[in-house]
Parts: sequence; structure tokens; C-alpha cells
Amino acid sequence: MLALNNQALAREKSRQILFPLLVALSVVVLFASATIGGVSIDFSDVLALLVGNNTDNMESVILWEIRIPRLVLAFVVGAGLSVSGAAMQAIFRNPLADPGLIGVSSGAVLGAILVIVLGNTVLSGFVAQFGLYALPVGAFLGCALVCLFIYRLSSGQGTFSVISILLAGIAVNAIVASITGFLTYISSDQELRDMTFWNMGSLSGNSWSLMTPSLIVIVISSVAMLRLATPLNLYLLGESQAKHLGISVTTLKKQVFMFTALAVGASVAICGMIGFVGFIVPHLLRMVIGPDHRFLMPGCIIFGGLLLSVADLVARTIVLPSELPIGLVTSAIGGPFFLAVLLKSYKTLR
Amino acid sequence: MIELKNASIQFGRYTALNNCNIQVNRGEVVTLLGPNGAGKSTALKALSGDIALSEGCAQINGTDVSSYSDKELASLRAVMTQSYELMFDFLVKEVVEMASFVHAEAFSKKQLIDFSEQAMTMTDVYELKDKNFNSLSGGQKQRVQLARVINQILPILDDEHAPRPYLFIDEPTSSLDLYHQYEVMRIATKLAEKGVGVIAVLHDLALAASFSDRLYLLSQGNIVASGSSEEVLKQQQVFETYGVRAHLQHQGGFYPSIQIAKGN
Repeated sequence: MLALNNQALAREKSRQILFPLLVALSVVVLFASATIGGVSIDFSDVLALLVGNNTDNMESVILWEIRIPRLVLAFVVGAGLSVSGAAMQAIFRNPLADPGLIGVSSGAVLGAILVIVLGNTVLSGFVAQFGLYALPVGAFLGCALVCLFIYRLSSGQGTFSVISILLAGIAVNAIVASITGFLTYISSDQELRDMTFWNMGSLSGNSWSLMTPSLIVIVISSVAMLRLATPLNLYLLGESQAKHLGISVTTLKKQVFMFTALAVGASVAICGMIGFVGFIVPHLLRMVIGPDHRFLMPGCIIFGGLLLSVADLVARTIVLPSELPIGLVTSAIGGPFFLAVLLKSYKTLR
Repeated sequence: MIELKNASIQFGRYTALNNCNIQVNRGEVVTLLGPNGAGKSTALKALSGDIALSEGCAQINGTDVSSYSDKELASLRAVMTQSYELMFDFLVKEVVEMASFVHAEAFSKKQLIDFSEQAMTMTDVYELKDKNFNSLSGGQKQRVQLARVINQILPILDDEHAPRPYLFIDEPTSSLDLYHQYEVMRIATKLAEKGVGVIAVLHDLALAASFSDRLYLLSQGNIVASGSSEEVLKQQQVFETYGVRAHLQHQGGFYPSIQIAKGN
């Protein structure tokens, strides 16, 4: 009884401590990301540059045109993936759920590989039209189309069933995978390499102008999902129970589907596939502050953003002057960390 | 009043409910009885707006259930279903406070916490409020879910001008010990005294006879008897419905009991 009482207390305490702690860590990571890199910038210079002094030297360009945009992208993408993961896990009532279930990943891969493999031939018009944006736009369109297809298959007669999303998702993902497989088969070695790296994710090479559309989509969708926190709590009681409490369950599921597709689609479009973040962040936070989405989802925003910022810092500095794909880093940091927390929580349960 | 009028429900070829008429007034406890698969829960779901009728109509306060929004229904009635599972480890008080969502606009946070504590005290789970819901026993979970449902209607009762709500309870005592079985039904009666219309599905005939103002006996989707416990629980009637010879016994100072005959 005492131990369980402590659990309630511990959760409340963790909530009080965690948020200021995460914000403080974010500030630390901001300065670390600004100073560390191929060219080191002194802490004092960073401070001066951040408040707007000395604006026309090389360090200023590096900071404002490369490091800060990249940090913002890392934070926003990490936040968007994590909050989407939390929403998906709630809607599927399954801690293993991820946005791949609704076709986000397979659709984005299809769009990206179409642009990479057919960009010089069949789709040369598309590539000419969109220029630098061709790959992100292709990935986003692929994602949107596949998600829309799964959505249409799953909704009928005024309902929107989670089981049919799951089944339609499996079928459509398999079809899309076979098309992707065929395109991979006919691709050249260079295209294959491009595709492989895209699949491992990267935050590099994105300017403000390239990433702003994605940032806007991710921020709007994430904020929209934050507003669904209480309905998602009630949804965990069961669909009819949530309905009895006045939640329009079908609308809720559709909203989560749409916002997740948008947030994750926009992330994948600009950064490629970054696995693990959307799955691990809600999990870890749930262990510390409990499953209440009113705390969990804001926590996901900050912790997810922080985690991906740190992962990107590692990815771009560990093998200077080159850099690692960020997907490798998120799995390499996230995997063992998650295992450690899992083992610890089993020990406390025993 | 809540009402099923000439209600039928077909699932494919299977008739779950056949031309049923059920009425529940404010301030009374009405119980649906019958063997497994008789259509009790189906009738309850039709009344609460969970499943659509094939024929007839289901009304709350004279208006068709389907013409209310989910939000409107939530302030007219609370429903306790037979499912007590909950994904992820919420605390007991968090589960009970989920019902506060319905009244978040009309009451202050402090008032809502008072209501949920009152509800937990009523169903005897206040001591468990900081425990992990998923660590509780089946019976404790059931009482926590009942507290959540009661927490949905307490704020409505608090407002003198609001129409009295209805409470739907589907086998609320199935996992409970003897004391809590009677305690839960006493709570239902107390709520009825405050004007709540209670409709319950029960399997325990003695419990139903002890606390219900009226009973409906269902068999294979039909209502075979309705009225007071003496009228409904006649030996022949119970035998035809359940295939068991049972005798309803009253004794001063005790709740009614049911004696079951040995053999057939």
C-alpha cells in the first residue's frame, strides 16, 4: 500500500521536476549544438551572435544559416514524431503502435524512390517543376496518397474501425512494398545508395526555405494533437465508454489519423526515415510521469525534440568531417537506453 | 422517462430483440433479468444509444436517442458496461476523474475533485485512490468503474434545475463479494431516491427482487413477464425461462432469497 501510494507521489514529483529539467537541458543542447561542429565557435561568440552582434562574419553565417536551422528542424521533427507516436499508441491501445501502421512510412518511401529512380526519365517534368523540393514533395505526396487510400478503405457506414485500419494498412503496405521493391530492382547503384541513405534519415543540407513548409505542417499538427489529450485519455477506457462520456470517437480517430499522417509525413519528407523516436519517447515518459496524455503529450514535445537534437549533435560530430545518418544514432542511443529503463522497471516490479 | 417502443434488433438472421417495450421512470430502479443471450444487454445498449434498432424506437425524455449528440447524451445518462480493462497504468483517482470531463465547463476544478472523491467514497474505493488501477482485483476494478460512472451523474444531481439523469448498469455486481453486491444495489436505490432513473441488468434473482421497483424478464429476445418481483418471479415463469425450479422467499428482517429445487 505504502509503495503504491509512493507511486502516485512519485509521478506528481516527476512531473514537477521533469518539465523544468527538460527545458534546462534544451538550453544546454542549444548552446552545445551552436558551439560544436566542423568549425568550433566560442561560447561567448555564440552569445554575442544570438543577441545580434557581429552579424556579418563567417561564424554568423554558420550559426544562423546552418546550425540554428538544423537544431530547429531536429527539435520540431523529434517533437512531432514523439507526439504522433503517443497518439498512435493511444488510438491502437497498444504500446507497440507506430505511424507506419497507417501507411506513412511505406507511402513516403514510395514517393521518395519514385523521385530518385524515375527522376531523370518518367518524372523529369516533376523534378524540373519542383527542383530542390522534388524529393520532399514526392515523399509527402506518396505518404498522403497511401494514407488517404488506407483511410478510405477503413471508413465506411459512419464508422472508422481501428481493426480495419490495421488490416487495410497491412495489405496496402505490402502492395506498396512490392512496387518499391520493383523500383529498387531497376535502380542504378548510385540511386540505390541515395535510397539507402534516405532510409537512414538525415537532417543535413536543409535551408530555412527548404524546411519551412514542413516545419509549419509539423507544428500545426502537433499543437492540434495536444488539444486531443483529454479525449485520448477517455478513449483508453474503451470506445463505447469514451462515447458514453460524450466523446465523438469516430471524429477523434479520424483527427488522430490525419494529424499523425501530416506530422510524420512532413518529417519524413524533409529528413527521411528516422526510426525509434516516436516509439521510445512516449514509452519512457509514461514510465516516469504516468500515462495521462495531458502531461505525456507536452512531455513528448520537449523530450522528443531534445532527444533528436542530441542525436543529431552526435551524428554530425562523432565522425568529423563526415557525418552519420541520424537513424543509426537514434537506434544506437535509444535502444540500450530503453533496454536499461525496461530492465530497471522490471526489477522494481519484482 | 427512457423508453423502448416496439423495439426489434436483428443481427443478420438472428433476432436479438423482438418487439420489446421497456419503460424506466425517474426515481425508480428497473432490472432486466433473463438467461444468457436473452437480449438484456442488447436492450440496454439500444436504450443508451450504442446500437441502432432495426424497428421501433428508443427514446430518452421523449426524444429519439439517435437525435442526441454524444455530448448531450453524456449529461443525460451514465453507463457502466461489463468491460473494466484499461490500457496503460492510470491511478484509480485518474480513472474516476475521467468522468469530470463531461462537466468541465460548468464546475470548478475543486468542485469536480470533490464530486469524484464523493463517488469514490460511495463505492468504497477512496482508500485505493492512489493505487494503480491495473493492480486491483476484478471486484475492486468494478467498484472503481462504478465510481467513475457515479462521478458522471453527481454534478447533474447537484444542479437543482437540471433534469434528473439516468444510470445504466450492466451486471454491476458480477465480480463483487456479498457485502459489496448489496452495497452497490443500495447505492442504486439511494440514487433513485434522489430522482435518478436506474436500469440494471442482473443475474442474481434475489438481488433483483431485493432492490428493484419493477422487473422485466427476457427470454430469446422477448419480454416474457414484467412487473413486481412477485409477479415476475413466479415458480412456473422462472422454470420456463431458466429451466430451474426456484422459489422466492421473504422473511422479516432479511432481503428476499431464492431457493433452488434439487434436480429438475
